[in-house]
Formats: sequence, structure tokens, C-alpha cells
Amino acid sequence: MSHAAAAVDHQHHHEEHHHEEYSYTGVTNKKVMMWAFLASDCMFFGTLISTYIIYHGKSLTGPYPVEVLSIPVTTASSFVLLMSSLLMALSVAAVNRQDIFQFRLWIFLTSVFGAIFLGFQSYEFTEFVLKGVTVQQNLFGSTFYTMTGTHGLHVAIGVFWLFSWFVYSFFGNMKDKAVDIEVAGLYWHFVDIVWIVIFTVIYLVEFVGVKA
Amino acid sequence: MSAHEEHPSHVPVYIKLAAALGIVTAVEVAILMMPLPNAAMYVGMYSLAAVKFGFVVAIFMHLKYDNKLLTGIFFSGFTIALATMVAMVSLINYQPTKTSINVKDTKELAALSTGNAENGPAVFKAKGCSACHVVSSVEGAVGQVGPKLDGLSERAKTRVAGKDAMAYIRESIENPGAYVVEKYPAGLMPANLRQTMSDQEYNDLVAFLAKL
Ligand code: HEC
Repeated sequence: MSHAAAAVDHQHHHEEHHHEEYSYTGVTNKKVMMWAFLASDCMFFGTLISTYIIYHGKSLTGPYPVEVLSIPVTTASSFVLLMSSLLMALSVAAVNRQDIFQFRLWIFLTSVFGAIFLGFQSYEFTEFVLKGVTVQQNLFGSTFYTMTGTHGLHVAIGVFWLFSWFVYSFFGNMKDKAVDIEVAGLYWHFVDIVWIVIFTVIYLVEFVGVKA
Repeated sequence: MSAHEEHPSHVPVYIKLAAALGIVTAVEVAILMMPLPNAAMYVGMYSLAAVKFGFVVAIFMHLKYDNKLLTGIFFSGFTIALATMVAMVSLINYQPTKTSINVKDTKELAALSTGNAENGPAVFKAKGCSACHVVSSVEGAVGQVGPKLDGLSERAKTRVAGKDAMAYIRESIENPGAYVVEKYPAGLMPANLRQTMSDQEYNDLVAFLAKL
């Protein structure tokens, strides 16, 4: 048992000095792991977006995207998500300064903005279904919901993750948590850049050449 | 913590970046309302999206300040994703009528592609069928050169063994010489009529004839 005790002691010793696990390269393992995950997530979204593009304009029945997509609504939700990225960056900066009050404020607002984005998406999906766009309706419905739904799921996971850190900050010690917050932040910013692409490729481009 | 220490002066950079991202998004939407050629719109929108993407990754996600290994990991995934997208979108030769309906072969497809019988009489007249065929329900269809088409659906079923009514009607238009109605000369009905109409017109016409 002395081995285990020594291990615990060793770990404890580490925590006291706020050490992180570093790889040979001097980059924390957690960050390397997150970036590797994001690299693979690029491929995931890449295929979903190209599937949408391939089947775009190939639906045999309506409603067609140009009839249901709303630029005003999506511009607003895109703006919310962009600003949540700023709030996330501020959270990371605050936790690095160990300014816990600001950290709580920014991380809370980040998850609220994420939740607002999800609110916009629920509104959009509801509107679509009322106008007849369901997953089974046509190729547009299937590819659109698969892609934006996957993105929405990412946002929902992010909101939960960030909000958990907000709660944690009241009970746990944030001293050695800077890397964890940074890693959560990377995930959050990624969700934002995916939306930058979706907003342009799916929403804006749809209306090129369409006279308002 | 030195490898990922947050420099306090980053916060103003974050705020400026967020403001810039908001403005760029507004410009993207504004492009849609400007009287620009479509090509210019595409170029404008895609490049602005790429700029937004790049800045979020470089600044909010720190790649600019972080170990280059992370940039390498992310962009290898990103490049594969982009290459896959380009390959998929450019290589897939999509045939709408053949992939969006679940059919096993062209025969099933032909049976499925339903025309609108109500538009049939208009096509019948427009393509000159009236000059040679009688159809009592179509005004002006009084030609005596070819057989009367009233009651065609019944006759068509039994004209050629192994061909149902639809297949026979299609054949008698696409290739009138394949089966020549008794007492009528071969080669009188023009063989190129199918080529004079669109797929839609053709399907409408056939749907109409099948109900005679
Ligand atoms: C120049 C005269 C002429 C024109 C124009 C013409 N047909 Fe015919 N059609 C005939 C003749 C003659 C026959 C009978 C000989 C044969 O089967 O080829 C015939 C046969 C048919 C038959 C088979 C009838 C049966 O009882 O088996 C169909 C169906 C038919 N035509 C449809 C059309 C349609 C539809 C058009 C217009 C797109 C058209 N035809 C235009 C002369 C014409």
C-alpha cells in the first residue's frame, strides 16, 4: 500500500505547485488533445457541409432554402455567438490573472450567450417545421438539420461545460485550472468558427443573385 | 505556467478583434444588398469569412502566440477536411431524378416519374399530335392519319407482350417503328417527337395518354 500512498502524495505535491502534464514539446497534453480533437472535428463538419452543398438545389419538392432561411434572424444569432467568443477570451484572461470575480462574470455571460444562440436556433427550427421543412421532407431538410443540428449539439455541450466551470468556481480552487479553462475556450471558439463558415456558405450565399 | 501565460495586454486586442468581427459580419450582410455582380459577391463573402476564421483561430484561440505544433495539428486536420470537401463537391456527378428517389433501375424510375395529366392536352396540341390523331376530349384533335387514341390505355396493355401500358405508350412515341399498328403504314409517325419536348412535357403527355 505504500506505493499507492506515495503516488497520492506525489500527486498532491504536484497539485500544490500547480503543475500541469507537459509533453516533450512543452505543450500541455490537454491542449494537444483538444487541438487534435478540433482537427478531427474539422473533418466531421467538412463532410456535413459538403453534403449540404452537394444536395443543394436538388430537392424535388419544397420548401426550398431561399423560401425559409432568414438572414436577419441568423445575423443576430451569429453576432451573439461572435460576442460569446470575446467573453470566452476574457474568461481565459481573467482566470490566468486569477481574477476570480471577473472569471465568473465572463464565463457566466459566455454560457448565457451560448444559450441565447440555442434559443435562436430553436426558434428557427420551429419556424421551419411550421413551414413544412422536416428531416424527411426533402434533401434540403435532411442535410440542413443534420448539419446545423450537429453544430447546435456542439453549442449545447459547450454551454453545459462552461456553465459547469462557473458553478465549480464557487466550490473548487481555480488556481490550477487555467489550462482547463483555456481548453474549454478552444472548444468554444471552434464552435464559433464553424458557425462563421455555416453562416456564409449556407445562409448568405443562398441569397446571392436573389433580388430582395 | 510560463508556456501559456496570458499577457494582460491581450484584453484590448480581444475587444478590438470582437468589434472588427462584428463589423465584418455586417459588411458581409451588406454585400448582399449591394448591386454587385454575383461573382464579386461570392469572392467578397468567402474571403471575409476566411478572414474572420483566421483571426479567431490566431487571436482568440492563441495559435499566433502558441507552440507551432498546435498550428500543425490543427491545420493538417483542416487541410484534409478542405481537400475532402473540394473533392466531394467537384467529383460527385449528381443526377437528381436518380438519387433522390429510391429506385433500383431505370424501369422503376420510369414508372415513378409521374407527369401531370392535366397538362397533357396542351402538350398534345402544341407538339402537333392533333394533326394525325383523334382524341375526343381534346378540341381540334381530329387528324385521321393515325389511329384514334380514345381508349388507348386499355389497348396499350395488350399491344406488346411483356410491356405494360406505360412502357408501350412511351415506346410508341420514342420509337414509333417498334410496333406499328395494324392497317397503318410504318414510318408515318415522326420518330423524333420525344426530342421536341422537355422531360416535364413528355411525362405530362404520357400521363395524359395513359388515362385515355
Ligand atoms: C404525321 C402523323 C402523326 C403525328 C404527327 C403523330 N402520330 Fe402518332 N401515329 C401515327 C401513325 C400513322 C400511327 C400508327 C402507326 C404506328 O404505330 O407507328 C401512330 C401511332 C401512335 C400511337 C400508338 C397508338 C396505338 O393504338 O397503338 C400513339 C400512342 C401515338 N401515335 C401517339 C402520338 C403522339 C403523342 C403524338 C404527338 C407527340 C403523335 N402520335 C404524333 C401518326 C402520327
